[in-house]
Amino acid sequence: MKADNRSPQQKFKPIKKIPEDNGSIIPTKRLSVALLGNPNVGKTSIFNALTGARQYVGNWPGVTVEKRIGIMYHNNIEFKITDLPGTYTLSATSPDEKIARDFLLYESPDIVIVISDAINLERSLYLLLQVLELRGDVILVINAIDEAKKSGIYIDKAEVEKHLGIPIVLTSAVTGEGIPELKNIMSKMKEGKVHVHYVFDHELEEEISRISSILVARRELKNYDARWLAIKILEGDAEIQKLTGIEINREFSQELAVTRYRFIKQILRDAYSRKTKTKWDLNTAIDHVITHKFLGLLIFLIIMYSVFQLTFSFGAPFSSLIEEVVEGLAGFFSSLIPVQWLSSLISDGIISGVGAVLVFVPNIFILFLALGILEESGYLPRAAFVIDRIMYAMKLSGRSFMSMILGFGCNVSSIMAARAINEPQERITTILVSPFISCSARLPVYVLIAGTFFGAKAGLVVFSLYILSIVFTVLSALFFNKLLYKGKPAPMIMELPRYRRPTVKSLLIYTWNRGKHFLEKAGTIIFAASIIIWFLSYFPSAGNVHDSYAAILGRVLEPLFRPIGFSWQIVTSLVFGIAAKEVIVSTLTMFYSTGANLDGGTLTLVNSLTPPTAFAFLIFVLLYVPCIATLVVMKNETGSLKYLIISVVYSFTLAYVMALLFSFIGGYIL
Amino acid sequence: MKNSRINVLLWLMGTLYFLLGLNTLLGFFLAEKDLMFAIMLMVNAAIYLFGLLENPENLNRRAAHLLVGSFFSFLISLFKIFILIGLWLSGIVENMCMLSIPVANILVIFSGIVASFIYAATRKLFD
Repeated sequence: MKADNRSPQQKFKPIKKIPEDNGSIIPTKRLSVALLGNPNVGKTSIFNALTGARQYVGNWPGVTVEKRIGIMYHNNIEFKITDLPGTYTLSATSPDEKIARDFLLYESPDIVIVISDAINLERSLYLLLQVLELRGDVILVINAIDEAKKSGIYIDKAEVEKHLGIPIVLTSAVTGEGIPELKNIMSKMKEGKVHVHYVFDHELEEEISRISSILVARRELKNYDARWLAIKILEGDAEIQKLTGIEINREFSQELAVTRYRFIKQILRDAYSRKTKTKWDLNTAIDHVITHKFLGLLIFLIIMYSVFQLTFSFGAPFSSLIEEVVEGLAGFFSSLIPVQWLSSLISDGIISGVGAVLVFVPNIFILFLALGILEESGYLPRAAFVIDRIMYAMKLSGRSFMSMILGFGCNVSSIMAARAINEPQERITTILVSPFISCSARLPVYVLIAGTFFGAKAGLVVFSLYILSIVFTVLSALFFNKLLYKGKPAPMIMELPRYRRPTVKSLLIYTWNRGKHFLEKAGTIIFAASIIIWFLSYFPSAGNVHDSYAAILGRVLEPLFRPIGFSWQIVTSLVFGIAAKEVIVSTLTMFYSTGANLDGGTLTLVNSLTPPTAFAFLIFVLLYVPCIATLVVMKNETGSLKYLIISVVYSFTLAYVMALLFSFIGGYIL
Repeated sequence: MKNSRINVLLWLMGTLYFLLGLNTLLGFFLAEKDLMFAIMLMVNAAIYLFGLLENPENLNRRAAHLLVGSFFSFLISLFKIFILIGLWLSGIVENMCMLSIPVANILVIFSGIVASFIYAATRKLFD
């Protein structure tokens, strides 16, 4: 691996141009900037404030698992700003931490901005010291200064600057305080190569000098700071030991950490003061109840029930309105176009197929809005804390739960978020079980089937599916851990963020960012799938579905599903649903709206399934093979085809067995 | 807010929500039978009543239950209002009236409004 020696102008081309904030169009200089910091200190908020981007800012650690890039113009300088995933150290113990470290090491940004949390400054300064050991041109941003002031915290900025010798900016991404100052400092930043002012103990310094002198002589390492490499070798960093080929018998990580913390304590003693608390604050009081041993789980369950009930009930009238519009459009085009096949393609294929999915847009947006409120307020990490006990019994940690809960939006995000899990085994298990978390793409199927078969109990049925998805996820995790791995998971160490009142702007960004994915799918995958399904169900017999290619495919597979009670239409919809789960709804709508009848009468969804079989169908949709996008990400994230095959075989088997079971026992319950 | 007042409020609100839960479970008075909504109300009652199991000397612990309990009561009434709005809009779309007094569960909505004042008063203890 080589360090980048190109000039800043050669190094990059701007990806996205944001309207500049002060004047000139042609930049005279280009600089690359890295935003680094502990998880959940507000890096993305600062990124948004600097670039004008609208990235979602979560109130829990691990929201950013990939680099995000934005452009800022200030004082005729173009800044390419990279928002890195949160990290506590530069030791790169998890994939997202590795992304952050590799960026500093191999991309060599011109400026590094370390974002810290004014309320938890000590831990943030530890990361800063590690960055300062590596390089100069660092700015320390102490964020959430407004909240610190409210909590009675005073930070003497000049004193911190005196100790560290780097520019310090006190900011609040919420109020915008300090952002203009930060921009000015960035544009005035000169190459300083300031290295931190503390020295380690005598024995350590001797070791550092000895190793440094060996490294300085190595030409292939000339682009790295020898002292930093020596410190990392003494810390026992496997990657650096491999890079340098130097291994030591004894680790000094503890001694190094003690020295750093001693220096931090000295800074805090001189520059940081806090009024002593005599009573509980709001966070402590709420946490006392929300994370209660017994009440915590009950509260979590009623909150989730309310979310799904609202999604169903409050979304219903809006869905009905869209349904009427779609029906009207289909009827209009059907009567307008005289050519039968073209009329069928547009009204039965495209409008009914895509429209069948668009009908559920209100439900999806309400679900994301509600999940956004939970995330934004800071409740989700508490839910992870409450669930951690159960997860630990299943050999997973609450960290996995945090990743899984993203799966309620999309399983792809859930699998990506597993990068924040340090333990490789736990990470693989989390990736394998993530598809069992019921994603938003399945919601249209639930709403359609539950609404058709279960009437007033539809909300309860949808809620029960979400609960079942959690149950199957944790049981599958237990199974995979037994089968593939042994041992206990790493205990969850996660700081609970402060509660925040969700802002309308942030909720709108969250809801839109998640919901637009659904709309994009409707315009791309579902649109294409609707045309393909129409083609397969129209030809070769000019509109007779029973002799169509789709029917042939469904009938070939139907015997396999006959014990569960699925007709060929249902089976075909499941096959097409592998492209994207929403396609199941499009397929069913197309089959049943065209009267895919067996004996002359119109066949409707209601008389093709019984309530127990309908519930079995929902279970099958919940559990069976993940969609193609999820499978591709799974393959990329695990780097192995083996896990993809395991996932497909296991999920299909589980779906089949459970659907069969529910179709039998469902008759006694429903 | 005094300790004794917090204790009285915990008793009152805990009992009220337990009764509201029971009423919703049985569909007895101005309420439609609804198992899941009844469970929500019972959990809300439990938040208050668990506060009474805390150390009587520790005002913070007991007040925390009153704070969170009253906030949940308020949220539950909001939840019910949103459900009613959904039903009302569905009625307009479907051209029929889907609202009724039992469906509205007016006692829960009213109790939630009262609870919001308790929440505002309790919150001052932690500001």
